[in-house]
Amino acid sequence: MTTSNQQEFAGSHHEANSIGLKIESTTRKKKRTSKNRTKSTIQNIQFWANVNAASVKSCYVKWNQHVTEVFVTSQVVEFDENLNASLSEFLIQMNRCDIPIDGFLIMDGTPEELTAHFKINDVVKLQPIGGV
Amino acid sequence: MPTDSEHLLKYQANRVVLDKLRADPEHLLEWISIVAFYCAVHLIEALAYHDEKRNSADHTERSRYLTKSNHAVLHQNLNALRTASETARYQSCRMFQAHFRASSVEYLVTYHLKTIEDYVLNVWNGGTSQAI
Repeated sequence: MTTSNQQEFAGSHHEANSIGLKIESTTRKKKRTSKNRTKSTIQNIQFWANVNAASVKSCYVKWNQHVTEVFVTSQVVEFDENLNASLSEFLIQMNRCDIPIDGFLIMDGTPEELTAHFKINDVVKLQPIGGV
Repeated sequence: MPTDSEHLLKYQANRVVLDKLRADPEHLLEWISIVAFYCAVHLIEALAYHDEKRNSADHTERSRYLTKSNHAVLHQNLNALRTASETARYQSCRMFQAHFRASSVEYLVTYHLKTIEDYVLNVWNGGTSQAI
């Protein structure tokens, strides 16, 4: 590694540069932005689930490279038209705020049955808290 | 890359199959759901090409396009069909039948798919979209 390459490496990966200023690496900045976005997305999904607490059983949230996916199970056995409409409205609002998200209702089942849509270890499960 | 008119031809080919399947609905509810969804997919792709000369790489990209477009009103219709299609393709027959009765599947076609058909064919014939 050459000296200039070493400086570039240091500048891009460490918190302090040679003149003592704290420089956040591009990678770390991206990670922080991504972490904040993830937190914000989770909060929005949780809020939506709470608003629809009477209808939502669980939300399974999965992160792909650029898009959050949310799989929603409902409290009723048959396909819930009203919840489907509410979920669509939520996804439209989120995407129009540049929060990349996709999702749809799935039918509730055993953990084995749910693996048809995602691996259990790849998702975060959210459940509505009361109602707002 | 298929054009809008090519997507409409694919839609029509799927629609012919769908109408044949509906002649024996009791035994073919899952296939009716799947083909109805793909009719809708090609109609939405026709819209996307008509507007932006684009095709979607997958269901997530198509869904996100729809949420951000002037045609977002159709998102809930597409998502209803998507849920049924995903259940039919990836879950057991028992599970599909528990969640989708014959009347629910008929509603998918006569309401959700019909809404998309009427909208897209209206746009295709020079009508206006219903932006939300």
